[in-house]
Amino acid sequence: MTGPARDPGLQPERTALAWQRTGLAAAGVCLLAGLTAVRVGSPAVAVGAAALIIAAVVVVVGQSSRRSRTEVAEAWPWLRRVASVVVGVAAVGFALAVHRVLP
Amino acid sequence: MLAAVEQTPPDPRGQGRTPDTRRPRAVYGVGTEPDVRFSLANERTALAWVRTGLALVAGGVALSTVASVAGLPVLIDVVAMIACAAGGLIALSALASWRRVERALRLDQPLPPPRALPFLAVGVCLVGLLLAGYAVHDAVSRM
Repeated sequence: MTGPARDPGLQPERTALAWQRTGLAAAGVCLLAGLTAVRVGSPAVAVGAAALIIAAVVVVVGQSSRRSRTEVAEAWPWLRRVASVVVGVAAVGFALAVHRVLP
Repeated sequence: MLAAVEQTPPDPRGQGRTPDTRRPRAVYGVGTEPDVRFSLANERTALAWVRTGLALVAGGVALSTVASVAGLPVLIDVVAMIACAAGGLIALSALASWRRVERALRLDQPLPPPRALPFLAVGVCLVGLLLAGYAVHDAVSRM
């Protein structure tokens, strides 16, 4: 059983929007982390943040192409990627704070 | 004539054409395909947890920025470190939670409760109390 062909609850569309929200928020936080890294004077960390921005954009673009069908495709790889981006930004933010605590 | 019987993995989509090779096997190797809507809802829940972790990380990065711009004491950076670490951990817990719930959906078992919720509440309270304590201390020291 695969469910109705057209979901009146708009679940595939809601899920696509949830992916866009998440990917864009991740890219935004990566940008903030990069700007802070430049301000604090830590260009190596800024490069890491830039790489994460690219990763977040990849997630957003990749997800929008995946959701062209209503069928449930592979969720796990994309969930893993977006969670990795968040863990990456967390590491960048941690490094920025440590940079001040231990100069 | 085959020398041995070929083992095909379970084919819950019932298409009979390609075997189900989706990963992780711990999730897709058991049970049957649930209603698509439940899987999508599980996916959206995992994304909501990821965004929650992201919000904590954003708060940590913002604290770090303000602390470096305004020359605030080291305590603010320690709070930023706590917030970033908590955000990263919550994003990871979103993955673990998605796996648990998807397995329960496939096996038609009761859904497990969100394990990260008490940690999230404690973490947010801790960060809030630390910042409030610093604010009070700062105000008192200026009097």
